[in-house]
Amino acid sequence: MNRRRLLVGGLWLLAVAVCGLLVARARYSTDLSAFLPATPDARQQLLVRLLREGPGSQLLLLSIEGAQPEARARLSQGLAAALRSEPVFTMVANGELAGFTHDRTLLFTRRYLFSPTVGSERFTVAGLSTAMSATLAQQASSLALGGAELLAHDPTGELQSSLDELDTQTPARTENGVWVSAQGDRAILMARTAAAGSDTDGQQRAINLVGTRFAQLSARLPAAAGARLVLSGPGVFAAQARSTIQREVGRLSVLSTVLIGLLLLLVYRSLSVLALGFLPVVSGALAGLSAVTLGFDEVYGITLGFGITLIGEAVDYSIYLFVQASAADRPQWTRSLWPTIRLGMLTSVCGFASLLPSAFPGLAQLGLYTVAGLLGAALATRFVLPALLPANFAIRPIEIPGLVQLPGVLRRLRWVLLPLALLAVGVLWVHRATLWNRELSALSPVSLADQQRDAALRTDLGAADVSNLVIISAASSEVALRGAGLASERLATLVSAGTLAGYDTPSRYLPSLVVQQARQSSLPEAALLRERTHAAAQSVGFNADALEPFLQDVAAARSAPLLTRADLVGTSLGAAVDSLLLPLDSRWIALLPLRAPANGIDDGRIAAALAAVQLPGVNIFAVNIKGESDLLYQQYLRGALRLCAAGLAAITLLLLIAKRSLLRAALLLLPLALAALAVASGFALAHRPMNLLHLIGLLLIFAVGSNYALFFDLSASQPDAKIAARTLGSLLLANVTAVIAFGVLSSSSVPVLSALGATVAPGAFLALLFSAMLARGSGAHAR
Amino acid sequence: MSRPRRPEPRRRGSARHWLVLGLAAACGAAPSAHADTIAELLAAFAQRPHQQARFVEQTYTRLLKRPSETTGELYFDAPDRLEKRTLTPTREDLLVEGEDITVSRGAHRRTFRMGDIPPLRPLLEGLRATLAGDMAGLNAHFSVSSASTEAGWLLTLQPLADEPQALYQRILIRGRDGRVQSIQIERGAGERSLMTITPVEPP
Repeated sequence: MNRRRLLVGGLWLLAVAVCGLLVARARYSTDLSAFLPATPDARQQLLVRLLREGPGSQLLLLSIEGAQPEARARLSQGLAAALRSEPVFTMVANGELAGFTHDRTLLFTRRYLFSPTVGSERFTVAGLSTAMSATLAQQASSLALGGAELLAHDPTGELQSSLDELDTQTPARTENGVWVSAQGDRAILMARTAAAGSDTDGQQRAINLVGTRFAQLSARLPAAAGARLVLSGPGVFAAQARSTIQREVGRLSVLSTVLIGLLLLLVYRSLSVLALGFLPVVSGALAGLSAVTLGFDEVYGITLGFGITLIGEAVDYSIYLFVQASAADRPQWTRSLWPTIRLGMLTSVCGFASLLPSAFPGLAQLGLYTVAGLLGAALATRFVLPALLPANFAIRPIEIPGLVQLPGVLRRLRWVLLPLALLAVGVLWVHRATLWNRELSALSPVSLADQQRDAALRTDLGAADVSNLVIISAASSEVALRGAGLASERLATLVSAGTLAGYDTPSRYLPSLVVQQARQSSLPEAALLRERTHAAAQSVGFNADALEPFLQDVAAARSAPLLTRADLVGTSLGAAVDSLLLPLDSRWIALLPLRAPANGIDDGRIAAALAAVQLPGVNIFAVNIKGESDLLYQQYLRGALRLCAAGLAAITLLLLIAKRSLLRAALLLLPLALAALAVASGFALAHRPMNLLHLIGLLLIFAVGSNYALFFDLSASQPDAKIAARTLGSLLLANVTAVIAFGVLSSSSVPVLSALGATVAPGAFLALLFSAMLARGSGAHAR
Repeated sequence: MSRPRRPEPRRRGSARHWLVLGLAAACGAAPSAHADTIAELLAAFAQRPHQQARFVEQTYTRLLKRPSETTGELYFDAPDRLEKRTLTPTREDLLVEGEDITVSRGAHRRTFRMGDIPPLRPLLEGLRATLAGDMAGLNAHFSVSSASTEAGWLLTLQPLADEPQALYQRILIRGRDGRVQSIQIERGAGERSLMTITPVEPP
């Protein structure tokens, strides 16, 4: 026996050491991608990548609130200046023109490459006359102030055409020289981080830097007292979500361990027994984490959060062992009660195992973690724990007066369940349309208030709305730009038709070489241009002699090299190109954000317009990001439904095999089904639409609740009143620990955690209650 | 006079408007006391915090064979809101309010700070100071002299020597009684613009 104890103990320690090593070496990830589906569809995969790493994910929105408008403006200027010198940011904009000196120089000197009106028609005598008289009319009011000099260089108004081409976004309101909100109650800035949106550490560094610089500034500026900085944007949300998840996982683990520990201490009245009771929990957690480490590249922080529920389940096994069996009865416990625990554990494993194929990595990890954790905890309870218990180990059974009579009382009330079930079904039927939340945002840890603030800031800034996009993918940046140029021609016709309010495109900031080449070659050679210009000047009323600067500029433009990305360095055009044209894997992606008109976007007409763009090797498609992600989510909701159905089928099959009776299996499942029904109708009555995690929670009511049903089934055939009473006590205790663990989870501010907790906590309790009510009325209690 | 909605600003700066921002202004009908000193003139202007007028502006430049002509409306609200609405040949709205300058044409709007275009400051502040009757503001940028003419009076605004790269050599403001009739901006070498002003009584 001693050798056996040594062997068991040694093996366990070895397993713990191996697991500990695995867990210590695991990579932990706390970003939100646990709930972005790892989708098989290439197009959806691209979308998910863009959401995670795309230019939209690098945008930081800053809002300065409080204090006086002048102080806010000075803070905005100071902050922008401070951040512009930081390499962490590739762009900082606050409405000041100070940052745009380079833009003006670039646009003026390269206007014949930028201007969309440049073409061979433009430089015929007729074209020149038309352009000159239009430009003269347009700039007449500027002439009074020395506009003549510019007009002599650019009588066809190509600079104005270039500027008009770029100035298409709805601008922010400016006061005191900086952008302010529509109500003027806050100064607003926009920054783009060098770090990708998925680089949460990089985002956090950028956020911290902004905070530090702002604090330094406001400390130096007495008028800034009371001013505060509010940050928003995807990077901020990711960083917030990470710290929330980290904090919540820590807080909830400690809370449920302490609560369960206190409860068990009350029952066991011994610290060493308490410690032994947690041995299966620790074993299970280690086994679960090791399995996830082996099965996945990285462990999601959220998985650890779900893992809290393992505490509530794994601690049950030791409760059953300690409470049901004193030392003398242990061999008998192993014979009569252990198989029931094992069956309960296996039904739980079946339930959780159905999550393994889930496309949501977070759910798959939850499944694997719990399956391995339950197996580890059960093995530790069955083989390690008995070997470690002192020979004279005994728990004084808890005596709750009247507990033994309770099942009998409950059974007499079982008729209540029929109207209750009908009521629940009725409620679900009435609310069938609103039972499920079909939006991916249901899983977002970002609070509604934060989402609304973000939306308001974007509206104020006129920041491109990224919910509608045309995505162009090509083998090279040049081809992607060419595609973007062709697509934007089609989009421009939609804008003039009113189908679109506007759009942006990288080809505006950096025309493709083909387009530049065409513009350059449309410029006539010097003698020809001189001749035509003289003829046109005559008809419009220009003094041809005064147009010498124009002739010189065109001659220079004819031989100047074409624009490349390198020419845009240090301009806002460069930042704009980078945000809309990016390499992804071996391809280049051009993004064309669309602005919807008041009556919404007509996807069909956009798709039809884009279909006309045919360029070999270029893929063009329009997407509605929110629509697509909601669609994705609905696919996964349906997928999860199938998984749950499979899990339920596996549990049923297991019970059928174990009980060898359809009726008994059905009777075991009935209270669990009723519990799930009651919980679901509770959500419907509370007008809380369920999401993916509620659905998983409903499955877990079966997986967790089956233990209680099995024990009531067992105690029905248990002739020994003493054992029956102990079994009942252990069940109650086990149920309370499960309710505590899931109840603690339901208090989380992370929606996915609270959804799971809020479903399983009442479900587990109802499963016990309904199992007691529906247990067969024979055995000790019946007499 | 009802203020038009404050125009929204623009993201990017326009080279054209840096070089070019056009303007000139004035209006006003003041009590008809015979004012022949600068101080008296300014005091007359100061009594009219809201002014409105129509203008015709002719620009003479060697670039054009004939002068270019624009017409439109002028509005002034003391102390610092000046608006020039050009109606022909192309609509363009120039609004100077405090330090903010907004230029709107069609759907395009751009906002600048006065500090973004240093040469423009003395001109805009000078005109505002004249209309507001603000002697100190005027003297900050110009040496001012006045003269009586057959038709009325003439104010000559000469940029101070330390003004940066002025867009003009001098500004001549002509009027009769307490009313501005024309503003002439001279840039030298025959380049000049003349704005003729007809006051409109605000409703």
